[in-house]
Amino acid sequence: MTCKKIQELLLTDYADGETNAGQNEMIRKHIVSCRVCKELEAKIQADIIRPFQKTRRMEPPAHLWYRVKTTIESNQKPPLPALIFEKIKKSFQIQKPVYAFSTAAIMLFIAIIVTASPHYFYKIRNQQLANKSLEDQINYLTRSNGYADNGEITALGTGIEEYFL
Amino acid sequence: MHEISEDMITEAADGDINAFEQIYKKTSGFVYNVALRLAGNKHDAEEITQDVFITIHKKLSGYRFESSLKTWIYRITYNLSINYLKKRSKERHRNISYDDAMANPETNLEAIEAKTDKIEEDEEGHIEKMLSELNPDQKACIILRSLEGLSYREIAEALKININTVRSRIKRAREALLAFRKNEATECEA
Repeated sequence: MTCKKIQELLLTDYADGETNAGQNEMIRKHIVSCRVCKELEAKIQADIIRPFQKTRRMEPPAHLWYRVKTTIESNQKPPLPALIFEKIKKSFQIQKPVYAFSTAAIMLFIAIIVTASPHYFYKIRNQQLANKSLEDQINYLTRSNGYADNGEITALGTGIEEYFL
Repeated sequence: MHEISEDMITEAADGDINAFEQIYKKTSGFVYNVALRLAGNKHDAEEITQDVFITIHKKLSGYRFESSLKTWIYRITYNLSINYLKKRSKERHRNISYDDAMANPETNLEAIEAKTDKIEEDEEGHIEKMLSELNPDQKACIILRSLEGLSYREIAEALKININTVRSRIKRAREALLAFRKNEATECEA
């Protein structure tokens, strides 16, 4: 291993106990024979590792929990006017799934009306025309058979009969 | 960090304030210390710690036990600290111009804090000076490793970065610290 690689490990993994047993052995052997790396290792330990180990931990002040607790409780319970306003607002709101469902139902209804109504209209219209046509045919036949509108016989119906009679 | 049971987390997530207080007692120490080192003064550390626990309380019902609670809390602490410090820095730039600060030292908040609120004592002050040499990312890695004792893997999880990024940030940070110590020694000799 080169000095550069050893120095990199001295600054990081070796100093922090992240190297494995094999790497530790290799680094120790190198340090014994390399003055520059040995000095660097001593400097790292003295200047930037040990000072951090000596620092004392601070305790958070006792009042901090009460500040946290008070904030949490005030966040949980909104003031009364806000609570009433929120309730009123909610009562006017339509929930999204309901809104989507009702829109879909309305669209479906409109689609059915649009597609089915011409068909229904023409069906009725055809029926009316058929009825009228049948009525006209009956009227025509009754007239041509010698029946008057009041049902009295006005003719015998054929030209041959008229000739002999 | 003392062990926190899953039951305690679930109870706190369901709104049990006593269970949440237990979690606070077990974790507020490291949250406060990380915030203190990142911010550099007690006032900001308290503000950050308060924000962290309010956020934890809000998000606890969404915690899925995928990472350890400790890592999850470190992540929240780091993110909120960085956001808080950015916001504070912007506010200061807006409120105090450089000329004002130079003309009237009493308006310089940094100076006031230095007098009243900075972490006291020589050794602590020295650590503070060293940390101020680092950028926020390097500082976070050094704090989590050298002060909190997290492994590289835990730091990577907490900061959501690659383990090799942790390694390279620690390397650069320590190179910067060595250079700082060398300059100090040179100044002392002179």
